[in-house]
Parts: sequence; C-alpha cells; structure tokens
Amino acid sequence: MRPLSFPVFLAVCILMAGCGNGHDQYSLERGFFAVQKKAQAIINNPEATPPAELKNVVDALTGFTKTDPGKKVAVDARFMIARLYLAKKEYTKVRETLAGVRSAYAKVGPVCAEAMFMDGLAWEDQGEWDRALTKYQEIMNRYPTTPRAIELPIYIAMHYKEKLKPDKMIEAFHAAEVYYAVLAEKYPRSQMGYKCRVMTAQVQAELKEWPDVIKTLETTIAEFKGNVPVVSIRLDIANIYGTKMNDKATARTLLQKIIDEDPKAPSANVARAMLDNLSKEKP
Amino acid sequence: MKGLDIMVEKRSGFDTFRRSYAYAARALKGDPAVFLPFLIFAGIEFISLIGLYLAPQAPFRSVLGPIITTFWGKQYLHYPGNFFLLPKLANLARMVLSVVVGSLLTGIAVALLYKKPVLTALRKYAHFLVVIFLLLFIFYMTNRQIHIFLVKYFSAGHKNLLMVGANMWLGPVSIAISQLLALIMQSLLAYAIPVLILTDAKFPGAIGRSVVCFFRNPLITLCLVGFPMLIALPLIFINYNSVFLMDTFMPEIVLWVGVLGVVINSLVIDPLVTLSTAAFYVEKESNT
Repeated sequence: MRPLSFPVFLAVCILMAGCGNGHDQYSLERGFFAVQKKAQAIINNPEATPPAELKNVVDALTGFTKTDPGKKVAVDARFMIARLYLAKKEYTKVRETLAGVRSAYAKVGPVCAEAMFMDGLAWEDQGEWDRALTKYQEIMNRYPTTPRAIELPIYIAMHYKEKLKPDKMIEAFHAAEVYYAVLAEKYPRSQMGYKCRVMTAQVQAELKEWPDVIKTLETTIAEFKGNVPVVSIRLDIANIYGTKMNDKATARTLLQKIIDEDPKAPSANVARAMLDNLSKEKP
Repeated sequence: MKGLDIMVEKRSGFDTFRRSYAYAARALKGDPAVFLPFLIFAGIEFISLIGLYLAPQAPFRSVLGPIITTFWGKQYLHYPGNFFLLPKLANLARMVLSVVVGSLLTGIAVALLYKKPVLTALRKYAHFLVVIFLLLFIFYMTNRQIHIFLVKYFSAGHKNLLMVGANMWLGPVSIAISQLLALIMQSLLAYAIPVLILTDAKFPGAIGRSVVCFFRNPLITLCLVGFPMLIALPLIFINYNSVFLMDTFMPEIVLWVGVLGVVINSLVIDPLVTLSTAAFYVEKESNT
C-alpha cells in the first residue's frame, strides 16, 4: 500500500458513513431517539401539550412503524404511540393502536403480552381494576412464559398491597405461589423453571413464610446445582436464618462452610462481612 | 538569615520553573517544527476518534462491530448506546497510539528542541516505545488493581472505607487517585526521553536516570507535569457527568467532548509537559 493510500481510504470511509441515506439501522435509531425524546416530553406533561404537537409526534412515530416490522424501532414506535394516547387519556385510540400491535405481531408472544398489559394499564387508568385484572389473567393464561406474564402475579398482589387490601393481597400472593409452582414443574431444569423458583421464594418472602422460603431455595439449589451460581442462594439462606428467623448459630455454620470451601472466592468475602455483622448484633 | 535562604531557594525554584517554559517557548518560536509532532499525533488521535464514533455505521461496523460485540456487548453498536462506550474506546485508542506513534513523535519533538537530527530519535524508537509502554502499563494495571480492590471491598458488604462511602470511592475519589497516579508515573519517567536523546543510554539506564533526576528535583518535576494537567480538570468533570449531559442535550455531546479532549491533551498538555521537562533537564545537565 502506498503511504497516501490509507489516509485516502479512511477519508472515503468517513464520507461514506457520514453521507448515509438515512435508511440504515443506525440512522433509523438516531431518528427514533429524537422523536422518542419529544414523545417523552409530552408524556411528562400531557396537559400542557398542544394537540398539534401530539399529532406531529404521532405522525413521526407512525413513519417508524412503516419500516421493516422485524426492526425494534417499528415495535417501539407503536408502543410509544399507545403510551402517548394513554398519557392524554384518549383510551379508544390507545386500544386501537394496541389492537394494531396485536394483529401485526400475532405470532410474537412477548409483544402481544406487552400490548395486552398496556391495555390493562389503560383500564386501571380509567379506574376499572376488574377489567384490567381480566386482561392480566388472560396474559398469564395465553402467554405464560413471557417476561410480562412472569411478573404479573406479583404485580397483582402488590396492587392490593398498595390499595391496603390485605386479604386480597394474601390471596393474590398464594395464587402467585401456585402459578409459579405449576410453571416450575412444567419446565424443570430450564431457565424458566429457575426463574419461577426464584419468584416463588420472593412471594413466600413477601408473606414472611421464612421456613417455606428456605425450603424453596434448597429445592432450587438441588435442581440447578452446576447450572447457576448457587452460592448466592446459600448466602440468602444464611441471611434468612440470621436476620429473619433469629437462628444465628445455623447462619454462622452456613457462612463458615462457604468460607471453608473456597476462602479466596468473592463469596467468601461476602460471607466474612456477613459473619462480622452477625457478631456485631446483639445475641 | 535562614528565612532569606528559604526565600532565595523559593525564588530559584520558581525561576527554574519559569526558565523551563521560557526555553521551550523560545525553541518553539525559533523552530515551529518542534510543535509538528504534537500536531501529527493530534491528527491521528482525531482520526481514530472519528473512526470509533462511526463504528456502528457501515463500512466501519464490519471491522469494529465484532470486536465491540465480543468485548463489551451488542448494545454498544446501537444509538445512543455507542456514546456510552466512546470515551472508554477513545482512552484505549489513545493509550495504544501513545505507545506505537506517540513515543516516536515525542522523541522527535525532544530531538528538534535540542537541535539534534531527527535520525537520533528514529534510531531510539524501540527504547522510547518501551519507556512509554512501561509508563502506561504500570499506570493502567495499578489503576485497575485499585478499582478491583474497591469493587471487591464494597461488594463484600462494607459500607465505608476510611469513613467515605462506596459512591464517593468508586466515583470522584477513584478519578482523583487515577490523576494522582498519572502525575506520579509521568513525573518519574519525565526525563527518560531527554536522556535517550542526549546520551547513549539504553532504556533501563534512561529510566534509572529519570527516576534519580525526579528524586533530586521532586517539587519542580511535579509542578512541570502537574500544572498542565490541571487544564484537563474541567474536561474530567464534564466526562464524569457525560450521562447527564447526554440526557439533557444530545448523545453527540460525548463526541464533542472527545474532540476537546484531543485538543487539550495532545496540543496543550503533552507539548507543555514534554518541552518544559526536556528544557529543565538540559538546564540541569548543563549546570552539573
């Protein structure tokens, strides 16, 4: 290569990159980011937004929905439009947009689950919790393995907690426990199964059923040893013994075992710090 | 009498400091070509920065895309994620360029300052390369070890270290330590390249003599290296708040900060440190 060839090649590359036709992925993302920022400003302050501004942003977002439907910006643009209408409390338009999402992405479970969830949020915004709940239960039945469906049982229970309805909350947490247990049995030794076990423990912790939490965590260790870093689960068990069940002796034994197994591991440092904290606390 | 001695000593220290800059300024005025190596380095660094900025776009994506995906993740090939990685990549590029090209260009600048033939610098390229590599390697590894220690310490459940919390240690304090480390490392090896140009010493001897020269004149060396570094403080502050700036203005602001960094580091700080320490060294040598 002659000495001038490389700088010339580089300059051509820079020019080529700078003079893109605006339809490549990166330019699309950059354009979408700018519109998204405008949309976020409307969502943050919907009352002060003039109707013309909303129309401009919706039109711009609609342009992105017409790109390749497989592209992330196309899906995100549709949800952003629905979010804008939701902020402006235009519920009919929200549902029209979400129906469009569900028909365009009928075969993509997570996208449909998200669309149905936003539909539920719209019902919640309208003060119709029962209709929202029906939507959420539909998501859990139709798309049980989607990230949204996994979060929903706890979301429902937390709604009752927020609304100060303890009976309904406990009932929802128990329902969640059953839901996760069924899924964990259905997908054993899988990522899904692991997530369900963790969520079960989380639900039991919300209910303060500490012996059950320990039992679930021990089952998780037995099922997933070698596939996931179980030492963090063992630290959680020790923490529950020490801080929740007031069984400091068992907590110390478990932590000491973690340290003895691999004294130089980061988990051993955590165990040492936990042991220190246990010693500082009054017996 | 003792007070007068101290005053004379202080004045002489300040005079040496002033004379070093005056010598470098005279040399620059007399032969502007002394500045050319710094200009070339800034140009190369600027091109590398633009190349990294364009990494997520064709045709650069085909070359840099797989590297970025492997080491940092696919999210940094998308807008605006690429701007979160850009300062880190620019820093790494500067390090590599400093070793491979910067070492030689610094040597040429010092040779031009001493009115020695450029060939002297070219012949000693391997030695410059080792000196700059060692400087950056020790700095990078020490910095990394400190960071790893802090992360391990706080992830082990400790809330404070020397009564300071994790947020401070992993934020502003880490930056301050890094700057202090850079100051010490640069001061220790500040005279290695002038020694290589002026004498027949090889890199171990040059490093040894540079360290000795530093310990004989610690304060003046720290000042010659440290004062120009203060110019970069606002830039460090801006970089620390880059996420806020990206959010408030636009992600491209990171690129402009990077360009400003090239100008300040390569066209202001590097010439000031290199030429003033070289001038100070030659004055010290002529006195002994």
